[in-house]
Amino acid sequence: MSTFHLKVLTVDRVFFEGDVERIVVRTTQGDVGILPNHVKYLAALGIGGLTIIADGKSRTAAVAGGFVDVSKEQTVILARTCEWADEIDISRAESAEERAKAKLQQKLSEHEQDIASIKLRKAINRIRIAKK
Amino acid sequence: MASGNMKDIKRRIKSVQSTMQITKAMELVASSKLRHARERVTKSRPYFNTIYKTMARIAGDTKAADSIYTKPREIKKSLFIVIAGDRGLAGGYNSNVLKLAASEMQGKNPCVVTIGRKAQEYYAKRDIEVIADYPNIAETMQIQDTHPIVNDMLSRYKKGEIDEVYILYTEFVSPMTQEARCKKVLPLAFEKEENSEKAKSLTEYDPSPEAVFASVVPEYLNGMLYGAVVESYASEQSSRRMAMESASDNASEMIENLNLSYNRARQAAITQEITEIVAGSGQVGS
Repeated sequence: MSTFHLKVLTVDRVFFEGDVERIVVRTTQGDVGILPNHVKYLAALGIGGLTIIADGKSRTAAVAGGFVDVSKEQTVILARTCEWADEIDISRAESAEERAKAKLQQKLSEHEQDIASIKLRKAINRIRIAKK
Repeated sequence: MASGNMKDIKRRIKSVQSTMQITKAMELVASSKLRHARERVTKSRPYFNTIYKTMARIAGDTKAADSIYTKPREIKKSLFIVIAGDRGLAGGYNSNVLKLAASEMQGKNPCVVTIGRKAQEYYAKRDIEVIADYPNIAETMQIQDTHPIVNDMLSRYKKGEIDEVYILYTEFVSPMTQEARCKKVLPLAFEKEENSEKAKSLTEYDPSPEAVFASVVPEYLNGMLYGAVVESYASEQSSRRMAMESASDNASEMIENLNLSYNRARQAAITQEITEIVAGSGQVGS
């Protein structure tokens, strides 16, 4: 089976590097699957999952923000935050969800509301990925 | 008289010793912090380099050429983000970056955002507009911490309140050398060769070049700022460790010299005492 080289980087670590068969990543426009020999492609990432399929096995991670850059040589994902599903601390994510919900109940400036709703979406995403 | 001299010397030895204890302790603290800081630098570099290359490529793509982030404009106001330490006693670390900042600001209409308490203190006393201070964030810096700084900067840039942005930081070249650097981040400017390399790429942008560009630019700036802070912090620890090491060395050399003069003074006192006794007994005997 043909493969392509994938690099997933965050500021504090090299999250993943290796040859993979297929990935599915959530961009701002929705989930996008990338196979070998994909056309050059660049998109911003939303809040969602990243599924990496290599050697017939699939692994899922929660990703929020950043972008994906597909070129001929390799595919690079530069993520703002990225965690494997099994690394996610569900109780922490749940308490983050509670906090964000409580925050949204209060009267907030538009900016604060944006921050809180993004936090809420991130928390829900992490819980969803972790429980998959 | 001689014993008074000895006491003086003894006191000085004590004081140098206690100073040495402090510098020694600071040296040890700095080397352990340096270890962490260097690790952080090594871990952030792959991201840093990749985002720089990607950005250079996108910026070179003709479709992105007339975005507000790349278009050069008339420079009326320049923003300098100055990254210095939170504490002193770090050799030339703080003064080097502040000196470079002063020379870069010449002939411009500057305003500053300071990161680190030393930069804050420096600009508080000067006649330069300070937009914001961010003291005490370098040590525990996380990528989320750069967002408010970058968002504020971008909204000012879009409104035309500032026309260009520089980051002043100290590059961690090696544990022995750190260099103060000034990097222009806005409008985006990259070296020519990187631009021309893949200028005619047929990249597909999802949903549109503008939208992708608009979300990649903040990402890039966050990455650059984070990288600059991490590098600076490692440089600070490294230059503090060096300064404290040489201070400890100087102190031990000083103690050695003082010990020598102490022994000399003690010897002189003993000799004098013997002379006095001998002279005294000679007189009694005769």
